[in-house]
Amino acid sequence: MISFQLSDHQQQVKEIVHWFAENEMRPISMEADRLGKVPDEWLERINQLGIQLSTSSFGGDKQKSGSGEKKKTERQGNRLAVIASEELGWGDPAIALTLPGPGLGGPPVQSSGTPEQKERFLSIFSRDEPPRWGAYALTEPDAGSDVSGIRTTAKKVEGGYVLNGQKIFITNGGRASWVVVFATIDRSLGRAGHRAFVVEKGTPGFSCTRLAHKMGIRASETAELLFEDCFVPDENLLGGEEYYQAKASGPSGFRVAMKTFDNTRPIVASMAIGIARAAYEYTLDLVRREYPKQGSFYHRASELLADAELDIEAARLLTWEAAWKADIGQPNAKEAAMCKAYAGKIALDVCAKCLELLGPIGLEQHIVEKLYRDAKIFDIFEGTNQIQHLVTARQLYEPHGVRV
Amino acid sequence: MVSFQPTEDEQAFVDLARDFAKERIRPLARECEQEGRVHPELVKKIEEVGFASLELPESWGGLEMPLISQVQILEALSSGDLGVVQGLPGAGDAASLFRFIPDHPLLASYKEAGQKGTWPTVAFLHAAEGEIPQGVTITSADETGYVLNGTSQPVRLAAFADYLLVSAVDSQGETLLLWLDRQKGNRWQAEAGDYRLGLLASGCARIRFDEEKISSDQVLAKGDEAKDLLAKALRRIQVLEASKEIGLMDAAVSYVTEYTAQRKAFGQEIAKFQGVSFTLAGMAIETQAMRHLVLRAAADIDGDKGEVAASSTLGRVHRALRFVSDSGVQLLGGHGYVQEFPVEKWMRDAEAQTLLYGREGELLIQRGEQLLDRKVPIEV
Amino acid sequence: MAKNIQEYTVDEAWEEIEKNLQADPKPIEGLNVVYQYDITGEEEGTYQLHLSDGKAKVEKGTPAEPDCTLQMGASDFKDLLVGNLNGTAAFMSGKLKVKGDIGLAIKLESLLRKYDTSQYK
Repeated sequence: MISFQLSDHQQQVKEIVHWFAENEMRPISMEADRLGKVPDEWLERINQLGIQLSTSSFGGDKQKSGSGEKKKTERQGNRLAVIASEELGWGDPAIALTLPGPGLGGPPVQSSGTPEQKERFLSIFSRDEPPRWGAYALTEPDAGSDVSGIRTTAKKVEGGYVLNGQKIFITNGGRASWVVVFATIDRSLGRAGHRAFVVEKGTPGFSCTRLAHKMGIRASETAELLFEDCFVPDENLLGGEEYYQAKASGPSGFRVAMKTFDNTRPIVASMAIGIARAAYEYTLDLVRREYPKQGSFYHRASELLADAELDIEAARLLTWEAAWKADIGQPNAKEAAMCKAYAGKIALDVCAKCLELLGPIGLEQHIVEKLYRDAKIFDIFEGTNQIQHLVTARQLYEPHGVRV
Repeated sequence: MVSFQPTEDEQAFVDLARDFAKERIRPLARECEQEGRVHPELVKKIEEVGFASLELPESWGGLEMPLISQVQILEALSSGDLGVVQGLPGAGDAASLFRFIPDHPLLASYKEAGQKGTWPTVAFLHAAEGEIPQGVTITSADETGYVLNGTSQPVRLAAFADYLLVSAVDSQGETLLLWLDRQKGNRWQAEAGDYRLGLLASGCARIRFDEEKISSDQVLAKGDEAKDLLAKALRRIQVLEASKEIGLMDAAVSYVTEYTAQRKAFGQEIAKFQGVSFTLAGMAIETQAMRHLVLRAAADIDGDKGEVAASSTLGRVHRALRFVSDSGVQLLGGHGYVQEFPVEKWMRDAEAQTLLYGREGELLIQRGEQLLDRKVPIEV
Repeated sequence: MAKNIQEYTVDEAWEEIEKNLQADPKPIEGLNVVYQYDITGEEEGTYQLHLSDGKAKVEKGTPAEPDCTLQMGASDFKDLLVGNLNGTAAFMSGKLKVKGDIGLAIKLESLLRKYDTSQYK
């Protein structure tokens, strides 16, 4: 049955994350943007509450039914993740990206790591210890959308590999305890030569050279990483040699990177929706309270706000569909690309509409201009709008035997 | 006769402006933004070349150029950096009003002050517009004057201004144009703010009046005369602002063309991907179309055409400005979002510009009402 | 002598809670809250924790209007008490439901963690 009603549990998750967003994130939001940093004390306190950014936070629904009924467990981890992410994006996207936890490094370790690696790398995130981060390093100065163009090399040596290369735009790359780094063992092999390594902080030859200054999400750490003859032991090759041998004729490290997008794109789309919703709610409230109730401004405001409402709803439903498909075990690459393309675009559009309504006062003292600056990146990272269109188009043409 | 050929003089000025933009303005753009003002040396050079007095009356020593010439020159200058152009001290928007009343006795001391080659800064507080309360109220204080009170919305150049041109509507509904001069004892506060979005070198500030008494001899014009002057000045301002926006759009098109012609991905220059080239083409088409609309509005105003689609042109150019500056960032991908490349600044400046100079919707509606010969009713 | 928390009944666990809170009332200083726990499953029961004027009192049933109600199964409840179950994880996975002031629920969790529960593990 088609339904857009949240279950009690889903509603609960939404409320709790919203509480966190409103009471913990929003109070430091503008200041963090100004500083270009999330205060350490805040991170320590939040970490103690056990709040982390982890895509695996959401287990299955373990509702215990009354006696006599069969226990039904429907996976809803992806739906819960997008519901929670929307609230985090509503709170503050830069702070959301800075929450302790494995972050984007989680999915590759989770899906491709050996049991030993999973234990070693994923057990360090504890509320009883200082906050820690994981990171995911794929992008290079000359390889953004074109992942197969990565040039970081991994040369096989006794006991491990030596990495050489540079990564840019890595969220939490400087503070992370470990980073999943994509490198190639042989460029001539193309994608088949890609490998994912876990490089730990403090490894000789691994350094964070600088942090980027950005248009928005300024409180989020965006790092440049350098690998200079950086030795990484065999135990840190994600999945081990066996993983790549077993998949020699099938997917490779390249697949490791690509597969996770089907799960992470809806989450990123949700954050963008949260941004749009934050701008929309703020502006709707302000216009209702302080602006004239007639005349041309009023008509313009009604039009823009009605449009914004639907922008947000459409983006959310596309995102829920992508998450739902993942939950029920169906392929969702097309839906993941569609929701990311749509949400990435409307996030900026809605903020622009809201800023138009605010007028000159929107220049300062109102959160909407920050949301506008934050929104733009959501149409770029995790796959640009153009890439999402390409993925969507490929999915559409595939049954017709045409590769676009 | 239809022609798109600039005059030789115009071409010379435009070439000069373009070189200036590239050699002097663009390299200093980020620094000016960080410092919150345009470098005095750069200001001096711009004044020396005459770019600061294009709109001012000849009787004041200004160039009193037709709009058709100015829009070309301003576009060229702004292609260096819109943020710098918007931070240039001087008469600012008020110049478009001075053009109509160059001999007004109230303006004599300002005119005098500008004779040394540097025009003191004037901020234009346009509080007489629209349905939205502007924050500043003006009330009659017996027969001898008025009282200004309250805090305005952010106004460009207000942080640097020693003079204010104020348009307001009093409680009787009468339009007023006022001239305020710090040296003559008028007081106001330019409130510093936490500006982050864009045009950070343009001296944006809210203007606060604390029950400031204005005598009636500070009134430049009132009633229908004020309304008429204001309308004439505003449409010039709208066209001039639009031309600056074309400059930013032009910069984005050039920059992105060069970047995408060199940047490689998937084994070739990204320009070869239709997703990229078609977007760039879209940017170029929109920029050219808007450029023409601005030229058209300028020509119409110079030719004393009665009703000119000035406000709607500005509204359309705002929309195009956002599209082009946003596409500029998008086509650079992740690099477009970081401060190593100019496009993220251009996108922020562009958005700030659209906030300062009229809501797109309202600008269009103003023209629509003229076309339909009817205002959208305000139910009382 | 303390035993493993799972060996206590819910009633007994509440006794321990009250005992510990009264022995060290510092973490609950200044709080004026009524928490209600609806324990479900095999050891079903409703309990209230009244915190006021630096004192803690456990009541069975619902003598007062609660500011915040938490609902969970008995063994999950016991695990939560000693930190074997993370409160946030419990919310997210549906093991713990909250009605009323969410902020108070989070406060309670971090408050209880200030007590040394190693003897019950």
